[in-house]
Amino acid sequence: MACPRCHAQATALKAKERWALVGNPNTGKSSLVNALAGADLQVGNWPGTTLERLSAALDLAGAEVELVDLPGTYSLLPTSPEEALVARELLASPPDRLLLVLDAGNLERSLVLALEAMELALPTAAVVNLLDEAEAKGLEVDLAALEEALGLPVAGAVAARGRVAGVLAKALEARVPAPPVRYPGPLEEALGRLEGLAPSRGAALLALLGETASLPQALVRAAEEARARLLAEGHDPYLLALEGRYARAQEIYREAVRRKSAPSSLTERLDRLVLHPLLGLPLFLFALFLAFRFTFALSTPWVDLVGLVQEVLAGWLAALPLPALLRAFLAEGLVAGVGTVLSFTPVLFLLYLALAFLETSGFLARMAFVADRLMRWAGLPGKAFIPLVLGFGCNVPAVYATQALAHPLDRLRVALAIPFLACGARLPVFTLFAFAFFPQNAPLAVLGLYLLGLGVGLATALLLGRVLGAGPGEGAMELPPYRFPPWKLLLRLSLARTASFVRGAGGPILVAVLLVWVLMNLPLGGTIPYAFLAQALTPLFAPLGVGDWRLVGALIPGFVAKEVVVGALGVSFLGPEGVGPLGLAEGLRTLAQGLETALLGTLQGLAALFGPPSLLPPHEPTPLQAALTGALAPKGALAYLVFVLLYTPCAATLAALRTVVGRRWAGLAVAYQLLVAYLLAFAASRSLP
Amino acid sequence: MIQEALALLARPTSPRELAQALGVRQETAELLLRQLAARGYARPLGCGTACGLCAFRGVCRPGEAYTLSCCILRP
Amino acid sequence: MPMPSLAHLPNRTRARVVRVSPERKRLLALGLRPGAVVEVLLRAPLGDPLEVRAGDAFLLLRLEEARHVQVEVL
Repeated sequence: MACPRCHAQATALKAKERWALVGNPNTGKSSLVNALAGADLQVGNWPGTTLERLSAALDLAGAEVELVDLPGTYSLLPTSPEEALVARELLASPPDRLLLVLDAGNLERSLVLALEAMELALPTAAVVNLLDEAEAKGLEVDLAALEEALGLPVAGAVAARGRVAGVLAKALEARVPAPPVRYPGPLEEALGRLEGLAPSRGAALLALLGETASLPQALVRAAEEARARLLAEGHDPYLLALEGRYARAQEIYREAVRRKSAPSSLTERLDRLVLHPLLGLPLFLFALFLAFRFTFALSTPWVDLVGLVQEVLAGWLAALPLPALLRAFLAEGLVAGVGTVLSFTPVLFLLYLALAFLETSGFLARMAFVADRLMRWAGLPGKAFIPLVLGFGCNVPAVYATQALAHPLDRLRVALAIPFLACGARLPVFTLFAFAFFPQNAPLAVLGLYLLGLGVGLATALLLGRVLGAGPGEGAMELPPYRFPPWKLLLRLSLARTASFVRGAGGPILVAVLLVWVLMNLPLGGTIPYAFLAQALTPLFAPLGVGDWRLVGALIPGFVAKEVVVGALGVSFLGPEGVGPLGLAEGLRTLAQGLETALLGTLQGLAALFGPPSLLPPHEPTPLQAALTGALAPKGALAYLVFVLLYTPCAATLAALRTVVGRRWAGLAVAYQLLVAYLLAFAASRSLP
Repeated sequence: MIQEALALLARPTSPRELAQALGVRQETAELLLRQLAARGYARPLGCGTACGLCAFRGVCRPGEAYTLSCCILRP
Repeated sequence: MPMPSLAHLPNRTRARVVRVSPERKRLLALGLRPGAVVEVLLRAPLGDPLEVRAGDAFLLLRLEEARHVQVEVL
């Protein structure tokens, strides 16, 4: 029964005692109370709060003991109402004995509170609970070493299973501990001067840190003075307290806890497969391919639905008795603008979902490992591959993701490379032209464009690095252990991220689309500004083999969002689609059908995810494609495609660039891109007969 | 130890990185970050836009994405 | 005899970190601190980069960076 390693004398048991259980949240304190006291549990509320108060009565060695479970807290320094309650209770009505409940699997963290509580000069004993969970984690707690280090009786327990055999015995051995932490000099001095006025060292420390609830006035006043003095000398007592506590917790943890088994050998074994010299690269490419397929296959039905909603809304608006121009503005401008923003969202959401999956599962880091070589060629760290990959989905989140890179020069170089990467918005333009002009080789042509974008982007990063004298990149990064992605969290996160994008970029895009509508529809001085501007610029494009002003004109809205290019081409070549008035019931029916189609499409997409890519059957050219083939030769089409690929970041990307690299560099990027686009488009037009 | 932590927090640092650098367990580093943030010595970064490492603060609770990677930056 | 660096450590051999070049402070933050136990788990084709276990964590390290970490074999 004696505690040979303890320093002070055990405190004698009184006839009637109140014991308080103190510990981190989720350490099984209530299970402990339950296991110790059995049936006599009382549940109530802490006065003035909604917090549950659990207590039980116990008959022990002839004495009446009341066990009280205090709310879980990480520290006596409150960051929440629960925590404030604990400090208040312990100071205002100190228990006869303190039972520190420590989490065996998180012992170091539990010790932070334990060390604080030990400074309250109460008879204390410790219970190390959740031993089974610690064992499952491969951790072994040496209770004897812990007793030695703390100078307190320590019992082990698995309260949930009722294994609390030694707890009461050790609790009877509780004693007032010696001060467990020696703080840095200035703090110790200040404490020394206050201890006479305080019921305990802990109380003095709390006062010194500004937590004055339930403390005697004399102490509070003296503490304020001492605190002011310390702050004037440039010491924050809070930081000094944390220093002492965490250092000691670390020490004790190292003495008392051993790691029994090697950590997740699963991760190691998986890595040997995933990072295999031969398998690594194909697996990496397959994962990328799957991620993009997931994103685009599943988002397309919903993007189509957004288009349908646009049509229905426009139809309803057309049925309203409004002046024709206003009707057109609302139906074609406003609805189209909102529609454009919304059409981003399915792609973004799924892209973020895919990325979050790869990231949380640990695969993304392994992909960085495989991509490291390529990154190094451009003088970039392996981690840089993450924003680059994102860029193929959408440039906007990719630009923001560059903030993860440590070196500002790396951030700049990657951010400027990203707009060259063919994002999802450019794909409709590519497929439209590729199928019209290179029907046999369409997928190859599109792939070629993607690779060109990547090549130019990496070359830009490399060049900028040379010009700005970037040092050798740092590749080191951590490979997190593999884990099961938490699905609910992934969904919540992707939603939040997408919503944030809409909030941020939605406004500018909408405004820009409206502006373009105005340009295209409002006659100014006899001509339509859009046509006027386009015709003025067309001669510049003649060397590229692009002579039709309608093609040049479509590039203008492309500054806002690349997918608008297709719409602009449609309007220019085929004439504006007359929007017929639509009845309410009719519209609702169409929407319902559209929703059904979208859901079906999603399911089909999911089912086909792992199957072979469907070879697109050769189909009849659409009216737009027919019109385009009349206006352009294949080499002109290639040049146009290259130009669209490279020429400018879209409005949302530009906004992102401004935030991340500053206005000067963002402006430079636009100019640089226009130049590169023109030169490479020229080269492309010369590359075909 | 605290001075080291503050020095690291000059740029976005995840709890995991902090734990590695200080030689403490990750949960301990998370608690330390919370305690530093409580007195204004650190600030959790906003949604992925801010640091791109983690996915997103306002939405994750400690023990969720926090254990994966959530940035804390000194203001 | 100069101490071997992590770059020269054969795969699956445990070693303890003795010293890290001062200009590579980042490596300390990742867990390559004096006293830490390390092990090279695998190397990419061409020997670069490496996957290293340092303490409880797994790290990706370039060969160039690994040269800055002096170790003693356990």
